Amino acid sequence: MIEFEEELKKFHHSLEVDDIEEAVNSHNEPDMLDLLFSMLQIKYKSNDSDN
Amino acid sequence: MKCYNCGCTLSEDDFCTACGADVKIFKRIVRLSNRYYNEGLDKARVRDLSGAAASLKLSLMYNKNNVQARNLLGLVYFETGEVVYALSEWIISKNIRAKKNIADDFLSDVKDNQSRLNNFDALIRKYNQACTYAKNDDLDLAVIQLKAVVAKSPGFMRAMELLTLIYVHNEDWNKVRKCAERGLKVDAGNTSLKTYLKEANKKIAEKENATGRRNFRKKEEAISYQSGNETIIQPLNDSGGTGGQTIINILIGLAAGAALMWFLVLPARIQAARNEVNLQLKEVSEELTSKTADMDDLNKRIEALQEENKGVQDALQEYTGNEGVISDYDALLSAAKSYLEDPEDALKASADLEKIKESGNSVNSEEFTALFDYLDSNVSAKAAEQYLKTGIGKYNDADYNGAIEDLTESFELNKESDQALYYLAQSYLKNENPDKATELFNQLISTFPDSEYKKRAEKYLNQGVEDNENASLTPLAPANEPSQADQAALQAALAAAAAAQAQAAQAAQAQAQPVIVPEAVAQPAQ
Repeated sequence: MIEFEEELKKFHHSLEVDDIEEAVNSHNEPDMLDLLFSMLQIKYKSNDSDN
Repeated sequence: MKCYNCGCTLSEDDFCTACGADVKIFKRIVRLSNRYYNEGLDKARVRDLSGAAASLKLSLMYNKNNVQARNLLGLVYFETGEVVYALSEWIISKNIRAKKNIADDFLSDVKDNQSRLNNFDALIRKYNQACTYAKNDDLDLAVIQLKAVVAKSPGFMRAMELLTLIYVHNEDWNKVRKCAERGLKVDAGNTSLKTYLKEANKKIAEKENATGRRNFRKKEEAISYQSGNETIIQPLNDSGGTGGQTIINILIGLAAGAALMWFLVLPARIQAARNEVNLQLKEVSEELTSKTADMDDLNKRIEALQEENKGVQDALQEYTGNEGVISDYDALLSAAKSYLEDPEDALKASADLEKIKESGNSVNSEEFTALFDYLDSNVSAKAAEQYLKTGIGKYNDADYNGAIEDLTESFELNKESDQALYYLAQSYLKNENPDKATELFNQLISTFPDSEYKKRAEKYLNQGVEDNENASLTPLAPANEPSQADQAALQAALAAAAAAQAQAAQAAQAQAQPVIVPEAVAQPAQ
């Protein structure tokens, strides 16, 4: 059974052409490689402090 | 694959041969990103755009610098109507790799065509408006907007989904199925549309089972297979039914043709015939109006001509009637003839001249006037004398009525005759009309104060003494016989008068020509 109200909540306003800057700026989330590099940086820093 | 530390090309080892950095996890992450990209590409090839977008997002989650995945994701977004997201993906891709990037072509293709971009923007605005309507429960307005959007851009999946959802809410299952199938042709992996389609098929089947109607829909039973990006649906072999069914089909076709004729062709023909009749009616009306106007003009012309004819008839009557100018000429000629034949007998000539005076016509002819004046001056005095003479004779014979007539004529012809007036009064007195006699005696006294008859009149008026003596005619100077010169002048005047009479008669005839009214004019319009 399809619940209309629930289904309707999935629909949001689409970005208009004037909002393209906002769309571009929203892509700054880190990816797996960013996480890897930050982990490696932490690892190298701890190694340097141990030495 | 390049080393993230030094940028050298990596080998199959888990470390960089140039800098010695550990690249085991790095290589695994990049491989995962590429794997999801490949998966997304495969899904995009079979138009599972939703699945492709999900895989490509995963690919970018592992490696956001995967330019190919980002470009493909932009393409998928663009195909599903998410133009802004597509542009943003391509812009980011361009930032990551400025050169030799296919995103350049995509961007220039969209950006360079400003009208196309405006159209995209307008569609997005309409979708957003429809979204607002739907959330405010204005579903009818939302449907109108969404129909406009999907009509212009059938690939705008969010609009198609929302439209289908509203149809689901309205339980218009046929439309749900139609929209869902249309949307799934663009995005075969769209789970929402699949759900709606499944629900619609279920409801339609239930309805058909409930009504017992045969389900003619055999699309699900058709054989379909994938060939590259195209889905080929092979129609089922239809034997065409029996011969009887063929005949029924032909009859149905004939009935449909007849219905088409009845509902489409005939009304058009009838309308055309009506238009033609109306046109003809309009032309006839205009012609009738024109003819009516002409007829009015002609009737006015007839009336004017009739008036003119009446005027001419009146003018002719003035000339030819009993009291017309012609009769005046006749009377004048008769008077002149009588005078010439017997100058002493002035009574007939005087009677003719009296007729001319009584008619009152104004004859503009100098000859007529000259002759009339000549006769009047010569005849009137003589006639007055003759009337006086006969009147006195009748008075003496006690014929007072006759005396009154003659003496009246005499006095009318000669107002200077106190004798005529006196004996006229005496005749009235003798005829037992003393009032009239008294009036005439008074007139005599006032008009002729030096008259010898004044004393007699006063005697009667003052003393009542009547004059019983016989009347005696006062001798008058003998009338002058017309001299030879007068005779010649009279002859010339007669000739001129005759000529003038002929000319007047001719003019009267010319004016009295009958007015010919054309038959066409006199006929009433049909």
